[in-house]
This record gives sequence, structure tokens and C-alpha cells, in this order.
Amino acid sequence: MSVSSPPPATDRLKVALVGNPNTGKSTLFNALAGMRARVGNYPGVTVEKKIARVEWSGRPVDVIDLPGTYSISPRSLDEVVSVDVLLGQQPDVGNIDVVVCIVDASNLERNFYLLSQVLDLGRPTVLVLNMWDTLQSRGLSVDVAALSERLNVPVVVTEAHRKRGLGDLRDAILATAGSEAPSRPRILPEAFYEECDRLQERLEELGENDAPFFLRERMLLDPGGTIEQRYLARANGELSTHLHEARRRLKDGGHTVSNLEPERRYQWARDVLDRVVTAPEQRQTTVTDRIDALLTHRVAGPLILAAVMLLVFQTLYTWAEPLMGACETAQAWVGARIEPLLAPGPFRSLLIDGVVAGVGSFLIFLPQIALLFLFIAILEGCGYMARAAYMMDRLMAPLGLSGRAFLPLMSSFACAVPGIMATRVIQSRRERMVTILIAPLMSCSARLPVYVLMIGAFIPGEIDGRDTAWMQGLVLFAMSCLGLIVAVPSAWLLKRTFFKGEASAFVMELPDYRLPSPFLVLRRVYESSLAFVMRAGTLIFATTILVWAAGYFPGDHSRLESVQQRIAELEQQGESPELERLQIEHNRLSGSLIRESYLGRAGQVIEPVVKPLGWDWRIGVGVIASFPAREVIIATLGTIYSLGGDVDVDDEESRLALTDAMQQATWPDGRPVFNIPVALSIMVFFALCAQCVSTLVIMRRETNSWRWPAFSFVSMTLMAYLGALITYQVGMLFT
Amino acid sequence: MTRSLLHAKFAHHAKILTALNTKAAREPPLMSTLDSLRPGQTGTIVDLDGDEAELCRLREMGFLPGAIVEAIGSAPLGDPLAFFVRGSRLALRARDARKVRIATAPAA
Repeated sequence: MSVSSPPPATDRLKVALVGNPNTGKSTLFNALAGMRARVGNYPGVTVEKKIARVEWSGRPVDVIDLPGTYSISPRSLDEVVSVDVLLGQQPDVGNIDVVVCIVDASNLERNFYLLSQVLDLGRPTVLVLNMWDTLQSRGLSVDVAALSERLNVPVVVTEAHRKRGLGDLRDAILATAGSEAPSRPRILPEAFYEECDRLQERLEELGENDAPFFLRERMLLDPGGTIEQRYLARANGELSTHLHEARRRLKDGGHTVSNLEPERRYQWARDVLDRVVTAPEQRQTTVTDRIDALLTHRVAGPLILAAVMLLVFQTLYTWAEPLMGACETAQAWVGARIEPLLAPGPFRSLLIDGVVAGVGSFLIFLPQIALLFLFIAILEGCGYMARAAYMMDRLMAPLGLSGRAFLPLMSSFACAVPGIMATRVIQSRRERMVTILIAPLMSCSARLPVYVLMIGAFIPGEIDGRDTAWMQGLVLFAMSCLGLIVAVPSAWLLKRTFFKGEASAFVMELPDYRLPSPFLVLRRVYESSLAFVMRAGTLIFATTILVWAAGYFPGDHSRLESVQQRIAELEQQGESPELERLQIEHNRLSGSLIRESYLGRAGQVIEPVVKPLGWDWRIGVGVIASFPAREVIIATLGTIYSLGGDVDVDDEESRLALTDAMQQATWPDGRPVFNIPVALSIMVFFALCAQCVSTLVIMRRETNSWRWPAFSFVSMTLMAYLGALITYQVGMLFT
Repeated sequence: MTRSLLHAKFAHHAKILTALNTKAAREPPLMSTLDSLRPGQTGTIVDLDGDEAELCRLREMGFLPGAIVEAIGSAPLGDPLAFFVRGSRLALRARDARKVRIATAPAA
């Protein structure tokens, strides 16, 4: 068999870690890797590629962490990556020397299902019994020597969170490297192995010489599976007929393919573990049972969950605020340092309005991301996340989602960027994609300034002396709910169109509670923050520069610059009428410059398109310029209405100035531009649109394709346009 | 399904039923589905009934004929349900639990 491609030029030892979720695999990987892990993506899929380059006893080693899984029967392109890596068929990883299968020592029977599949790979294998302490506390015992002998595989006992047993594991791996692979256990009936051999002959006849045993096994066992599809695409129709006949022959022999594998593998697990594991007669009530009695209690459970969620969001909103404020201050500080160093001109504008403002506009998300991932890592690590999903599942099920989607969607109310990153807790790829696509519809905090501005300016707080502040509150509430309301049918539609698939049963493990490892928690915060800065940063940055350039060129900025120079000089001497005159001149100039810029021209070109929404070209420009981030529209409107670019909705004075300017804005025929339907149509547009580069870029990163951010942008913009159109047209019927 | 296979299946069930019979003083075991187990009650899986694609995940996680399942309880809204099977605590939706047929010893 030509399973193994020739060894790579370097003699780096390649070690792959596989195991069920909740077996402490990540903890073990981090304990082995130290700070040397590098995280990336496998090309074309959403699977994280985690590789650590280390050195053991002078031998260079690559440790590869594969996603936690209960089975390596691949059902999607994402899962097939793990199989390809293990078989040495993933070109960017290379041949694997040792497969390390990590199992939960206190739960061997279920974990051995995966082990039995791993042994079928035919690679040198080391078995790790992790969480040895849990096993002991449960009154179980395992005869390790007997187990190793029965399996013909080295067995190592570890407590990864205490860093115990790591030396033994490293020695075992080094000793196993280069040794003969253990013979495959004959778990399945003889007739099945005969069919595997027959398939091999058939494949060779069809010119397929590179089909390892494991893949042939999968072709027979997973009708319509990913591996079968891969080979069918390469071979002609004869293979399909052969597989069909082979399964038929097996069925006639009394072996139904669907039953065969789980029944035989679990039987094998029982046989291997018989008299190797001794367990107490009666299952003992564990600490986990007692904690669950409280945390998933009919009444106390939801209350505690609500309290935990409240704490998380209080934190995201309030604790992150000073940190975000610090980011803004730092941004202003850097801008102020650069300003006197450079003469006014395109370069200074690029640096301050483009680079510093651009970098600042995405770095501002960093505190929220770090905090959210701190909570996620703690909640996941201690086992509470699974309980939250368990309790919320009933509410998410009608959307075609599971309880796992609850936290990412909740987080998206603060900001879709950390929300989309949080979808990593969802194991099913289809469900994760749907959650990613509806997350930007949740009303994030960047929409709030737009709502505040519009409501403050156009929804009356008082009519004929009667207090109507409730109306303002109602509109704010309605806008905040709009996205959520649209998300329900969107999720439903997505589940029935792009992410259709067989409705597999929903089975979720509720792992034992345990203390999360502080190192793992911090590592996760660090990794998600770094991923955000490194990958998203560059693209968000580029887009911001592009929008800056569109608003800057091709105008002649020399007069504006000389005015700026004068203002800077006069500011030294304090307030003066001359300074005030110059400020007004400055605002008028910058307003006319943006009107003549490419951005301004684009706004005028699209006016016919936005006119049915009740918008004039200025609002159009604002919407285009707010592509990097929704709240940018406020600064842009400020610039267009000649207020300078610095409008802050938290600053009463500048907000009132913009409100006045908007209230006075008119169409060429003298009608006011803004009225209640226009304000509502702008708000509806911003509630539903995808005007946020950070979100789109994160979506690209998490789905590893431009297809989905493009889809999301187009569909959301369409929805936003239609929503705004309906709002305006219906609104006008009442005015 | 061929005759021989049906036969094998019945023989398999009969074996489980006999085992249960002897335990429960020869009283016939009660047949029901997994969702009807009360917290603390145990049952033995007899069969899985439903679409193959839906069942394969249940089988992989160890819901197979012969496995003993203990009901733990349900989520606050009544669904999903939690079970203890082969040493793991697993949550299933009621609609999936209904696909698992079990035999329980009659209440004492």
C-alpha cells in the first residue's frame, strides 16, 4: 500500500492528537506545546490548524492538535480534514509518525469507540488515559499493563491539568515513532474485510492505487459519505455500482451497514475492557450530580443562567467601556503627537484620519473580545456552557438551531465581531454557519449612536405640552428588536436552503464540572485577541484607508490646510472673533471638499436609488462612508453639514448642532429633507444593513471564504433597502 | 428486510427480554420509549426506530440495543432530556428520545 508518502526532507517527528471533546485534550496539547503553538486554518475549511514546534530529547517534534470528536467517520469537509491529516494526506502537514489518542480514563467505554476507529488507521499509536484523578475519585480502577497488552499499544496515564505523566508520554511517543503500527483489531465481521479487499482490487482496476484501508472501510460504512463522494468524483460510475453491490452482499449476509459499526465497536470496547476496568456496582452520586441539581433546577437554573448572562453583558458594556475609552484616548493622543510633526497635507491626513483613525476603529473592539473570550473560556472550561446550552435549547430549536447558538447570539447584541468568533463553541458546521449569518442582525452597540441621534432629532419628546418620551423609548425598543425579528425567518430560511442536510439527532454531552485551568483560559483570550488583531486588522485597516481616500481626493486641500495652520496659531493665543470666523470657514471648506470628493460624487450618483427611501444625496454619502462602521455616518453627516468631522453623540452641544443642521436641511425645492418617516427609514436601514467591515472580515476569517461575507453583505443590504423603502412609503401615507 | 435478519432481530430482543424477565421475578417488562423514563429510573434499549441518518449519531454515542440508560431529568423547559449512558451524561431532545425503544422492569 502506498499510504505513506515519502518522509519529508526534515526529520521532524509529526505527532497528531485525537480525542473526544471534554477529555482534557486541549490542556494536554498546551502542556506539551508550552507557548510554542501556532494557530492557523486548514485551506478551504473552517477547521483550526494548531501546530506546536517543540524539541524533545534533542529531537524536533511537531505536535498537531485535531478538533475534539466522538468519531472520525467524516460527515463534512471540515471533518474530512482530520482524517486526511491522520492518514498523511494533508499536504501542508505531511506524514504523521505517531497518533496519540487521548481518552477520559473515567469513561473508557464511550471513548474506546473513537480508539477503535483510530486503530483502523494503521498508524503507530499511543493511548493516553487522561484525568486519572477523576477515575480514582469515582472508585474505578484500570489495569494499565493488561490493557496495553490487549491492545498491543503503549498506554500512558496522565493528569494533564496537573502536568503529571507528561514525561512518560513524551518518552512513549519517541519510543513509538518509527515502530511498526499495531495490527488492526478484527472488529468487524470477516465478510466485511473480504469486501474491503474486493474494493481494493476494484479500485486498482479503476486506476486508484491510493486508497488506504481506512478510506475503503469508510466508503463501505458511510453510504453517501464524504469519502465515497471523493472517490466517486474521481472514478467512473462503476465504483458506485460496486459499492452498492458490496453493501447489498453484506446485508444479505445479515450485516446492515448502519448497525454494523457502532454495534461491533462497542462490543469490542466491552470485550477489551472486561476485567481490565473494575467499577463499583452502583453508580455513585457525584459532585457533578449535586451541582446539576442546583444549576439545572427548574426554577433556580434559569435564574442563575440569567444572572450569569447579566454579569457577562454588564461586563461587556460597562467594564469594557473604560478600556474602550482608553483606546480612544490613546488614538487621540497619537493623533495629537503626529499633528505638530507634519505639515498639513495629504500625508498628515492619511496618517491621522486614515491610519490612526482606521486602526483605532477596530482596536476599539479588542477589550470586548478579550473579555467575552475570558468568560467563554471559563464557562466552557468548568462545564457550565454545556448546561446553558442544555437549558436554552428549547428556545433555539424552533429556529433550527441548538442551545449552543445562544451565547454567540446574545454576545452579538454587544457586538457581532466577538459574537461571530464565539460561534466556535458550536460543533455542527451547518448550525455554526447559520448562527454566523444571523449574528450581524442582532442590534449591536454601534447602532445605538445612530438611533440616539435620529430619535433625538425627529421623534418628539413632547407634543402640545404632553410628555411623549415613551414614544422615543418605544422607537428605540422597536429598532433594537427589529433585527432579532428578521433573524427568525432568516435562520429558518437558511436552514432550509443553503444549510439543508439530514436532520441528525441532537446529542450533547454534559461533562463533569471541573476547575478551568487558568493557563488555558488566558491562552484562549490571548489567541482570540491575536487572531482578531492580526487577521482582521490588516483588512479593516485597508478598507478604512480606501474610504478615507475616496473622501479626500481629488479636492484641492491647500486652502483648508492654510486655514488649519492659522487656527493652530490662533489657538495658542486663546479665544478670539478671528478664530471663530476661521472655524466656520474651516467647516465650510471641509464640507465643500467632501461634496466634490469621489465619495460626494458617488452620493450624488446614487441619489436616484435612495430617493424612494426619502433620502437626499447627503444621506447617501453618509451611508456609503459608513461602510467601515455604522457609527461613521454621524461624523460624515457632521462633515457634510459643515460642522467639521468631530460630532460626538455623547457631547450635547455637537449633537444639538448636527440636529439643528439636519432639521434645517432642505431639498432644492425648499421641502425639508428630514421628517419622521425619513428618520425611521434611516434607522430601519441601519438596523438591517451590514455596514461594518469588522464583521464582514471576521466572517471571512471564521468561514474561511469570501463567499459568506459577500452573501451576507448583499442580502442584508437588500433587506435594509426594502425595509427602509417600506418604512418610508408607508410612513408617508400617515403624514 | 430479509426473513433471516428479522429473525435475528427478534432473537436478540427475546434475549434481552428474557434477561429482564428473570430479574423482575418473571413479570413481563414494560415496553416504552426513552422519553417516558422518570428521573432516576433505568431502562434497557431494545431497538432504535427512525430514519437511518438521524439514528447514526445516537448509535455513535452509545445508544444501542442492550445498553442500560438512566434518566437524570429534563431541562427547565421540559426539553431536552438528560440521560446517563455508558458512563456519560448525554442530553437528547424528546423527539429523538422517542426513537429509542426501551424495556423497563415493572415498578415494585
